[in-house]
Amino acid sequence: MAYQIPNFPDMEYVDRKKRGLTIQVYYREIFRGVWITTKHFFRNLWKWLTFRKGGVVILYPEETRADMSPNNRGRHILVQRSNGQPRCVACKMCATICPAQCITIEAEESEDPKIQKRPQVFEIDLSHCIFCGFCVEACPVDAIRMLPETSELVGYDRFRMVYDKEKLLSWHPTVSDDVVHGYNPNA
Amino acid sequence: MKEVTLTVDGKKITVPAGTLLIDACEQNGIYIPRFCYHKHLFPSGNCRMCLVTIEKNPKPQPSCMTPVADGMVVHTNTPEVAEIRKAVLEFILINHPLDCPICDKAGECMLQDQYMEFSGDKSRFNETKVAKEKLYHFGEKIVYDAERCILCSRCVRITREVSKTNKLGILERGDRSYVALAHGDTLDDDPYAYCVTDNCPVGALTPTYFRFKERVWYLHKTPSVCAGCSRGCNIWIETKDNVIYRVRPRENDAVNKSWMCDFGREYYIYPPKNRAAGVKINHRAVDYGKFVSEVASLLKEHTKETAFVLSAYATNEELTLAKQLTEHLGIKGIFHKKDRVWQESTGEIREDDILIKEDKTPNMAGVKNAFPDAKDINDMVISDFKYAVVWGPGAPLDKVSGLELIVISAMVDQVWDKAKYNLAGRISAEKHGSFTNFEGITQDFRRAIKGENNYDELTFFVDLLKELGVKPIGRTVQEIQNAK
Amino acid sequence: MEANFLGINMVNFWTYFILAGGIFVFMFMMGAVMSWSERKQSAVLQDRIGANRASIPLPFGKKFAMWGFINNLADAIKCLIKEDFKPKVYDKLMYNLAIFFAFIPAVLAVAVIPFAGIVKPAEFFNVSYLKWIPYLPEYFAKNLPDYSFKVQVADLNVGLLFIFAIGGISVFGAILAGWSSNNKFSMMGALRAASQMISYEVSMGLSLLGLIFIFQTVNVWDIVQAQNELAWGWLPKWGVFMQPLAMFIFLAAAVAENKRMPFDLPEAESEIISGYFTEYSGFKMLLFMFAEFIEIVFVAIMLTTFFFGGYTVPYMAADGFYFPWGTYVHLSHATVVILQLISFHVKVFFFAWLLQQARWSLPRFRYDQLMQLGWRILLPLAIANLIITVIIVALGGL
Repeated sequence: MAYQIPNFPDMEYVDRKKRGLTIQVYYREIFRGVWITTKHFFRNLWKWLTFRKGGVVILYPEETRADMSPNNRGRHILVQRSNGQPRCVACKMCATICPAQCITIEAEESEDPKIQKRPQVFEIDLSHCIFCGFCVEACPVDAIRMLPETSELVGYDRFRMVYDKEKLLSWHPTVSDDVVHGYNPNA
Repeated sequence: MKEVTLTVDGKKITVPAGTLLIDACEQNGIYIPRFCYHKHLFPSGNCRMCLVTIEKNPKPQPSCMTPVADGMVVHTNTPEVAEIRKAVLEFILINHPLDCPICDKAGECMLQDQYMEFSGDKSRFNETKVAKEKLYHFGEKIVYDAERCILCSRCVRITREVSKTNKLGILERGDRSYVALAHGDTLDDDPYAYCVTDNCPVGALTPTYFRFKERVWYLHKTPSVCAGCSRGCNIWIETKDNVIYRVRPRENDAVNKSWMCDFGREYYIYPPKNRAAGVKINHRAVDYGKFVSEVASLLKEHTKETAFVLSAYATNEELTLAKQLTEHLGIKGIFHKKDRVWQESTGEIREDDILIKEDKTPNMAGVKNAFPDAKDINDMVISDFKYAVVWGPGAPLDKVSGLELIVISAMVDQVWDKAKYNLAGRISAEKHGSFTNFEGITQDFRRAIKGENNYDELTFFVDLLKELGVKPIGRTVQEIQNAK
Repeated sequence: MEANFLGINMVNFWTYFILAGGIFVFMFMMGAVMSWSERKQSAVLQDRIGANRASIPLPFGKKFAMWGFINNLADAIKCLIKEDFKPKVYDKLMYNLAIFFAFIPAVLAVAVIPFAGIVKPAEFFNVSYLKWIPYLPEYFAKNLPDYSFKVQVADLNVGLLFIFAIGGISVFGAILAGWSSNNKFSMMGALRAASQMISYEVSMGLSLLGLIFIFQTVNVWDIVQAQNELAWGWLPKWGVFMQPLAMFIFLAAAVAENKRMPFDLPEAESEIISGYFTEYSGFKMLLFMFAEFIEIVFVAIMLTTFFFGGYTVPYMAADGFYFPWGTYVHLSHATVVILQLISFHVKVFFFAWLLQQARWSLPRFRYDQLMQLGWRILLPLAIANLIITVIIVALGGL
């Protein structure tokens, strides 16, 4: 039964049913709740006892999620030049756009006067990263990309989640053309 | 002076006769884009970016080369002018390499800004761009990138008109043109060389000390006054994370126009190695409060025997408090000194008739204003005193015996090592206050970086006065300035 | 062996020494099992996996994880080597004493609980399937042919009152811990714990009074024995059949005494961190947790003993089964004792499991609901139950 409140057309009083004894003593509801969990308990227990997995969760790292989207981009890489050096010119566009401010770059003079500038330090603090992909979009030379993988973000301290230049360059392409030649957005 | 009235975009403006049209427009709030024109340089009119249409004139005119005339009707926002600007930008960008990612100028580049504001077109240029020298050292200070250069000739005019060394010139013709020095010459001995990098509209000339150090949009600009000499050039101190990355002149027609010398920049960029730190009594670190109370009681007891040596690096506000202190205590022996640090470290006396002054202290005029009776330290009769409060570096007291020294200084020198009481002070980049330059112009400056393990002299004097039971004139720079 | 040493019967001494030790070890093992089931049972009923990582490395790349049981070991080691963090200002004596007030009553009260019936060692070993045991059968047959004992540490006449007396001490643990920690959260938790435990003790006591009236005794041994009798010739006189309402009241009150979900207001994490043991760390905190687990077992033991016939098996007497339809199955003495032990343990395990199951299924009560339930529902019900019981007993119904 509901009553309209004068002057407040959107609001109404609701008369809840008075709680009877069966609810007041709680036991019925408790047994109903326990019954549900007990069903789960014995079903899962039976699965475990018959050498099957009795849980819906994933035993990481033995198992990994198979239902990861193909659009998932979870790992940063630095694209290499043909000599293995990063293509990055340390322009700090990614560091500037990064909403989590997790990219640290320090530039240095390159030996090659055609390249001039290259990163001396390139670190992504993946414990801060929010995987928005802005860095990939901001990069003017297509030097940073994100792969459809998950970065194995585990470590005993947060400093292990800082990926440095070597780690970011450690990804080796299967199709070398893809990396050596730039990605042309107009093509 | 005769005044003329003209119409710009339907707005009637009145300016003195002889003013250039570009200045007349800018004074009245109409910005005309430009590359080669600079307020403090002779116009050259080669970039054509400032073309405007003037009625009854068959062709668009460069506003930087056109003096105003009575009854002139000028249009700067017509579609025709916009088309001209687009065309000029497209022409300039034909051979511009667009290496903004590695260009230190990116972010404050006039070409970037004006392209974004006045053009925004895509390139139609399919041919190969002209390749030129990418990395050419004009000595140790300046790096020249010929590809980025738009040949505005500002740098050439700066060496011609400001530093008067005539070192730079433009060689070759057409798209082969480039800025060059005489064979074998460098810009290292030009004391205004860094001005060409500040005023280069693109990233063609960049200073080596700032090369690839930081992108300009990360820098925090603090208005300050150069403490390198008594000229008091207005500067921007550009910092990030408490580190000075760059120093650039701040425009002030009365003092330094748009220029400053390289020594002034190096004064800030390469911080001195002999910075003082901590607070000590008998060469042992003590609590700051203890230091204040000991110095206060010492000054109270030995007022007659104490000499007070002023620092010409002190701000006017600190000098005000120092004056209050000496007047309260009745200290008679007040001296000023020319700090010798600069001269000693460089081994030469630098002076020219452009900006650089022989007096390397920033606030000698302020000292003389605050303490007209102060005598030169060289006239000091040592035997009259037992104690000396030495403020600032460079006092010639290191060879003197029989004086207990209380040194408040930002620098370590012989006097600092000899002193019984030491308090590390701050350099002007770490302070807030004002300097009075040799012409008597008082200029405020702000604190750009935080001092590490040193103490603001202003706070020290406030604490000292409180310890002596006196209400200081003010506790902050603002309060002192308001009280004056 | 009629050895008397300083007036002590050494046979009795060794019997009860071993018995007490065994029960002590049993309670500790059950505490460990409970802390394991807290993890693993909750995981299984929530479709998770639960603790399975802590393991002892074996050769050939194998790992000995024992379904997460090794986690307890890791926990204990971790708590031992952890920093013993204490508040800056605290009452040192009370702070340390509180642990024992919380921990000891839980173990002590088991002393009056019978785990099985009377054992006659000489007869016990005289069974075919125990012949393999060396030395002991000959020893008992030769030296102590008539010796017998109850599998109960202390056969007190006031057994039930003893349990309540000891149980009443455990409230001191909470109060002292909360007060001596010098922490507002601890204090709040202690106040909650004290008021909750005292409130529910009333209902718990009243719910058991009915049984005392029916069985006319407070001796726990006698109560268990009485439950093995049959009413109307077929129904075992278990407390649950005699006093079904009292069983539910007792269950609710005992869980509340134990401060477990859904009555874990004294340790409500979202409100007062860890309640009265917020400021305890390392092994001291572990002891508080352990006391809680042992108390679960003790609640299960109480339920078994007072409402589910204790160690007794329905229709089973000391020499075999006497079924209501007249069948008699003879059982040897050893078989009977073993069946009794199994019966007791199965019941205890079941109730411990049930309590854990309820703990992981139910949300927490609000504090006013908790007090409402205690004083306005359980207490009147318990009193009504008692009055009806008294009337029926007085009329000679039972």
